[in-house]
Amino acid sequence: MTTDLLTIDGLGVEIGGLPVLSEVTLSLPSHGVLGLVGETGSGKSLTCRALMGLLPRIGGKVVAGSIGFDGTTLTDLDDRGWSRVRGGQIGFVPQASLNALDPVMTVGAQLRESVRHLDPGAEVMARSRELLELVRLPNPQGVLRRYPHELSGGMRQRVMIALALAGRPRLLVADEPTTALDVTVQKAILEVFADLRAASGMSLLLVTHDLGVVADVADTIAVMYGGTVVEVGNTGKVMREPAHPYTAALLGARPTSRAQGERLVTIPGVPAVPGQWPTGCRFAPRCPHARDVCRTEQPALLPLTGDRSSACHGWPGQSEEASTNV
Amino acid sequence: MSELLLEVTNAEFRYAKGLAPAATGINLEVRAGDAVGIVGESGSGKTTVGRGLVGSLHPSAGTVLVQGRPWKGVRRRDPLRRVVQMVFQDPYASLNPMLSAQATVAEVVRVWDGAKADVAAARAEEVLAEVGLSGEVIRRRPAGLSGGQRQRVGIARALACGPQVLVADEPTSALDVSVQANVLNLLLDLRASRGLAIVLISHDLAVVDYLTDRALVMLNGEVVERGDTRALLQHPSHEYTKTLINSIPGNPLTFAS
Amino acid sequence: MLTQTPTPAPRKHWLRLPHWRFAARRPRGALALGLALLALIVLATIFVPMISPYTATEIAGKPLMPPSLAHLFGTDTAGRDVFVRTWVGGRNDLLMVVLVVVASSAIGTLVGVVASMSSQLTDSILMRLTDALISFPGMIIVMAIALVFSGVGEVGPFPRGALPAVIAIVAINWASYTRLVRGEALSLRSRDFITAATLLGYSKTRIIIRHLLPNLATTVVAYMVVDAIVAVVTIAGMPFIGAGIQPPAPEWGSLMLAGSTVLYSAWWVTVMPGLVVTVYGIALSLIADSLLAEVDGGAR
Repeated sequence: MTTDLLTIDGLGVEIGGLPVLSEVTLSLPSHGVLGLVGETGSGKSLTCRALMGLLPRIGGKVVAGSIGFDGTTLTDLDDRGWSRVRGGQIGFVPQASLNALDPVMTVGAQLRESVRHLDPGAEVMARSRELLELVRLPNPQGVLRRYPHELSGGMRQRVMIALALAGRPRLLVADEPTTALDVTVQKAILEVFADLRAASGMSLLLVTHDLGVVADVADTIAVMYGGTVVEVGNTGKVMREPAHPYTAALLGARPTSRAQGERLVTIPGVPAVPGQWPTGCRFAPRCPHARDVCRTEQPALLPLTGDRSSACHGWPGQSEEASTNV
Repeated sequence: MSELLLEVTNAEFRYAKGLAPAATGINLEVRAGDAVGIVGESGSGKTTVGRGLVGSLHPSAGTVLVQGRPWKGVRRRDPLRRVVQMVFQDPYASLNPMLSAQATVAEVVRVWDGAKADVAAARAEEVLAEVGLSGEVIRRRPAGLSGGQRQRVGIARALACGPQVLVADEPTSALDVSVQANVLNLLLDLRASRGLAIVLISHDLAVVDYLTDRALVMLNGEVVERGDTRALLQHPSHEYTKTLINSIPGNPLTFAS
Repeated sequence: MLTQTPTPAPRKHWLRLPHWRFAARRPRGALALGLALLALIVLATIFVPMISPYTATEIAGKPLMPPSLAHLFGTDTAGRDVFVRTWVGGRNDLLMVVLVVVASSAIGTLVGVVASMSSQLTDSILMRLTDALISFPGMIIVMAIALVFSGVGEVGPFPRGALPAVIAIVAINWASYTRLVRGEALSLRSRDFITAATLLGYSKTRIIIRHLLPNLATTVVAYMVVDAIVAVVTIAGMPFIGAGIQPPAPEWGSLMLAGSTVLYSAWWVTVMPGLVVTVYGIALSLIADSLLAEVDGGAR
């Protein structure tokens, strides 16, 4: 088994004493692409923040588990340690970052600032241009001279990605990178990610609520609900045969999963929210297959056949059937 | 043929006199019970057409007729207003933050049916139940409701005056997948139970495919392709339609240009 | 009405991450403290004159006696008890402040809302008028008007000179509310729920009263609280030019003015009323601060 680039093991996070993440376990191999999927309140954005050491900013702290990256234990790092990792080892493209560029600086100025800070040895001007080429921006020279408001949404997003790449990170974490964009622009951005991975072997952690995006881009998918990971596995296999009721419900809720006029799968109730997590499995109150044990004992993320895992009391029994169909 | 409710002929819409038109050459017929989709990305003009359909924006050329009458000149309390209503995209901005769900819907009944407070409240409860909201939830203000619940209140408000056409402008774009499913199922049910015609404005081809029978594809203010939804999506003829379909993430269908 | 506390509203609580940050940093006690201080001052203005052994105008002891158990704030140049004068003066001031703030906000809000809902032309005219009033050196105009009419006699609970002062201030002050309200109202108007109301054929009046005004309330009230501080300063400044509440009726400003000649020897005549005014300002600041945090955190 190859050592994974990123390992999150049993991560638990609290904000102001309130548990918001628990038992989050994920891993990402080198050159791999992991799609982290979940709806609002699932904890996927928080997991990103934990990965980048941005928890203190929102009053959060790690209370359990650890995050390992390329041999270093991130959860043990202090501020100094983090500033070396951030940007240089792990690049971050934040959510709704279309407005995250400084409006009074040209794109070039912002890129040069990042390059100078994160890539001291490089030739600043040349590297800035190169970064824009990496994200497939046409006319990089012209873009360098522009201000953010002169660029379209898609172009700004590509600049954000270029900025994240300035430190030559081994892992790029992108939080909902295509959400506010038009479909055609989305596709272009996803192609940028595909290119980056092919060219530099960079690993990618993509956080999204869009299952279609994950299907396109990610090798592995991890589904989160109620602050914990409920299923992990190869994207194609999970999407064809989910091993958790929530994943199945998500897949059935997509309009593409049903013929016209056929009702979509809906999940009764409201999403589990930190501070109001039920005892036992967090999905149990909404799960059509819930049994007594589901309401008392929280299921652990257990491995199933074929390098997959699922946190469900019901599934280990059913995985035997599933594996015969695979 | 069922009743012609909306008839748009060669309409052109501008937001202000001096500006270039946001949409031109729009032709559309909506009959009772129809389900029509208007598809496009940002800047395509689809929202503009939506505003034109509900009478919020008058055409600078061409006509928009509701049951045979043009919107221009329709007074505030003309019964014609009951025929077409709108459902909006942003669940956070589409409701009055100070009014409870019940109050929001009851107000419609008070204004249109001249009902007294208690009668209106009861009627509001019925309509809210129709969209799947009941119990103490309806007495909450929007701040106490989830995005999906707010959208449903918005739908209830639109339904309360008994419209025959519902223009839904990106009704599920701001919602999570599972919540979107709820709202889509609801629209499906309402179409069946009330014989509502639905005009669905959306950038999401999957949703349009699911809910509509025919669709228009818009680009830069013009309709570039139109027809039966299924046919459109499986055998697109216009370049842009193909690009749009090819761009859908996770879509197995890809079309060569 | 000001503080929205919804019943179990998990989504609002969770989604508003920035609100988390405000909640973490702003001490909950601020609003409570502000209200408590304000309440103390108001209660004092009501009860002290009732239970004090002295009245505001009688000679209660030797002039310029320092604070003691008999005279908590000492006595002034004429031998009157500063403590009771401070609180009677406070009553006069607060009455005026309430009138000023309520009248200014009512007029200003009405004009602002109407302007936001009117045609371009009407809106322009109203806003030019408003701008003119705001850009005038307000204090001077107010002082001038108040001075000219300062001779007007007592009206009800208001001492001589009080009403003209109030009218003078309100005449200029309403304009600031109009600016504020028109801006907020315009941004509200573009929100979908107002479009929905228009599509549903609601009358302009209904939209203003049921949909615009309630949503403007928090902002307007926050502004009113700040205005209450400014108003006191204006009112207290009037005696310095002979306008406003006329002697012998006490008033914070005139009390402080009276003690200015003996500031070094009998500091308490000026400083004690001054402290009360300061505490009043702090109380209102705390309240305004908390209200504005509500608006920031709750509005989106």
